[in-house]
Amino acid sequence: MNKTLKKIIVTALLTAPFAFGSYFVTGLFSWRSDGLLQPISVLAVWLFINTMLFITLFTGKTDKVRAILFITMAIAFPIGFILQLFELRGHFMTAVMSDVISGNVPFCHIVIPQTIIPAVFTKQIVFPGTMDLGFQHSASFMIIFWLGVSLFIGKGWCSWTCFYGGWEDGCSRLSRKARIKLNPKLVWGAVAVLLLVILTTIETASPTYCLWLCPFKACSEFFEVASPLLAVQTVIFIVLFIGLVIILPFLSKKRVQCMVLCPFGAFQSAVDKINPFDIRIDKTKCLKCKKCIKECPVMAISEASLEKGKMGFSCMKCGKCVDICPGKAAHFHIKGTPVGGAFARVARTIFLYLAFTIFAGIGAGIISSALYRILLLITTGSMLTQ
Amino acid sequence: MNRKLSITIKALLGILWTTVFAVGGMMLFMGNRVLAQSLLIDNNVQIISKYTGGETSYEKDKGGYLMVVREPVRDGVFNKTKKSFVQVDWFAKESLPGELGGSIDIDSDGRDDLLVDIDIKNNKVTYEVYGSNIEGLASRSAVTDYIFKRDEDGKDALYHYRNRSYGGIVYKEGISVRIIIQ
Amino acid sequence: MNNLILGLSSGIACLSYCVPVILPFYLARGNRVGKNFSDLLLFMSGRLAGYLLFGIAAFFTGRFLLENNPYRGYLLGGTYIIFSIFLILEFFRKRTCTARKLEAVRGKLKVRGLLFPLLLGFLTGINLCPTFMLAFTEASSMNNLLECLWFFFLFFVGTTVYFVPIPLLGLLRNREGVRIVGRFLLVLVGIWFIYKGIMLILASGGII
Repeated sequence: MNKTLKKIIVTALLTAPFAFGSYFVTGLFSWRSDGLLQPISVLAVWLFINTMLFITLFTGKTDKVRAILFITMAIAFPIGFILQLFELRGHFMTAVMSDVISGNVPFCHIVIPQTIIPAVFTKQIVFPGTMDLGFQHSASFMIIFWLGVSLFIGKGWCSWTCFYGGWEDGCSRLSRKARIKLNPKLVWGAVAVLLLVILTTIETASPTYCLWLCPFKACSEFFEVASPLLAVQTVIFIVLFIGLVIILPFLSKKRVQCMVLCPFGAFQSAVDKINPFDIRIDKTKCLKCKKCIKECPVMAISEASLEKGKMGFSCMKCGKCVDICPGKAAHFHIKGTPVGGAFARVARTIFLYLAFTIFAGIGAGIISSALYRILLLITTGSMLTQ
Repeated sequence: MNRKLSITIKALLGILWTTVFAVGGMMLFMGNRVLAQSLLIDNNVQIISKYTGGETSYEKDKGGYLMVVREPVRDGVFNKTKKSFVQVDWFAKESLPGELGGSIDIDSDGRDDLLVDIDIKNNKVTYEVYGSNIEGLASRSAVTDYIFKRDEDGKDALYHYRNRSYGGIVYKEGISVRIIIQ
Repeated sequence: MNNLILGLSSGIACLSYCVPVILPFYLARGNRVGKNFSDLLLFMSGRLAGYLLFGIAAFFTGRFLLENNPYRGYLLGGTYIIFSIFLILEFFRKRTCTARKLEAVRGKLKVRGLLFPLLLGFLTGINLCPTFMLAFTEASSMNNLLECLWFFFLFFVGTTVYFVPIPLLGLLRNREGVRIVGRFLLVLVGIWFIYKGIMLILASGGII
């Protein structure tokens, strides 16, 4: 039999169980909509995800396929999210104080690290939202979901699950060459921010990261500028968004905000210690070309880490180093197993199954709801359902 | 120990670790609702009271809408403030009347503590205080800045919202005010 | 909570600079972890004594300078800002730790045995670093001596967190990382306290 045909059949067989599983995860089984637009969007996204898995299994390349999914999710997220909140509250992109006390504020994963100490000691979550399971964006849902993802892929969250990260990932791919070089010490910035927001959240009993620093308010929602203090907070998040999410990633080809600012990323690095997956360098195959050091989007590889064959704490398992390594020395790896060889292929396949499952669970919902709104606009002239 | 054997054991343990976590993760995803209920909600993990308004002290059916008086809430996580506020809500399944209010007993001692008069359309609250420990109404912008910032003229004290879930029921329209107590 | 925050933020920075000195000191003295802990205990007692002394000084400063002072808010806010700026400047300065200086003069002092860790602790305890001065400012606004001492005690607890793992040397593998995080944190905590200072001044002026 033709070798390519054989490879296609094997890849199709490997994709098939996921295609079956993701049929349920994406919600295809629960068509309850009156019209056809919703099922069409979900079906399109289901096909999209499965095609992507097929391509990544067939080509053996991870990062480019991941980036397509990841960036699509980040662009799609505001479309569905903002319109859904608009329908719930009646105002566009802004949260007002009434939303805070009525619990209509969605809970986001970045909130988790700063709320964890008060939650453990006083059973209080320092964030305006709701625990009500009826509300799609409730705190209770997100906490359990985060636990699940941490078991599945650990810090992989930052390159496979985060619905904001695609903005930076996209911007960091826009230019061909890095125009500025960043100091690798900057990766510790996020740890300092994490410590600061944990301490200040306890002191002020308010989510200080969300109020003062979160740049992604620019693509989700922000507080109505009702006081001078809120005006200052608004300026800060706009500057951080333009600087750390758009300009610096474009100039440096690195995911700057993720490295320097995001407390969730730093927190997830610690959580990642319990996860069985990591990326390793097979020292016997390493050509010492240092291409991975140059290309890693989160500066997780240094000469010292190459020497050890391990990644730095900021590694988010995007797979870029695995793809670009000329000596094929970088591998997906299950802790405890030997580095490289057949084990690497097994580790990568299992990791991809898990990462794609999460993507089917959250990314598919995000992309399909954006697609639904776009189809709605084309067919009815309005993006609103009501 | 034989080196080959130790490598095999380590590899098997690694694969076991992955399997356990994959199954565990899948259970968390599939049982999200049940686990959130049993691990968090049943264990009384809550959104901090300064945002939600706190536990209910008592409710009063006003015919067509519901009035809820909450327990006093103090700011802070570990070191609570001396001052507190009491939130009063009015919820309607469909819509609230344009004007409402009346005397309110905020500490459930049988005596009314203040009289409020709310004009929802014009977003205005007028009030009269009976108790000496009441400082006034809290300003709306105080939720994110200073929780005990006073609203001087009643123009910035009313929270007006829709689709509020309370006691398992979604109320289409709701309003609240917060009364600062020394 | 300020005291704990200050302690935690200053502790992580102080420690990362002091460890290279304190570490050899421990290694030279006793090889057993138990012995290291008893030394650490003495070192900590010295530090606590230094801190409590500062607590008393802060209280009396507050009594004489701030009580019934109409400009109290401005004074406190201003001091917050000034010391916060020093804290941020610290980021750019090559820091040396009191312990390092002490080690240099140790031979001359001829202090031996149990007394040395105690003295080392006491002198690092009264070290005038900016975070410590911020704690001093904060404590001087208190109107009760016991409250003041309690404040410095908590500040001490905050910084102590970082000293506990010293005897368990293996825990400090990534000393470089701790040092960098400490320095970033100095700047961030500095900005946070400048914000607090500004708010205090604005509140005193009746603006917010």
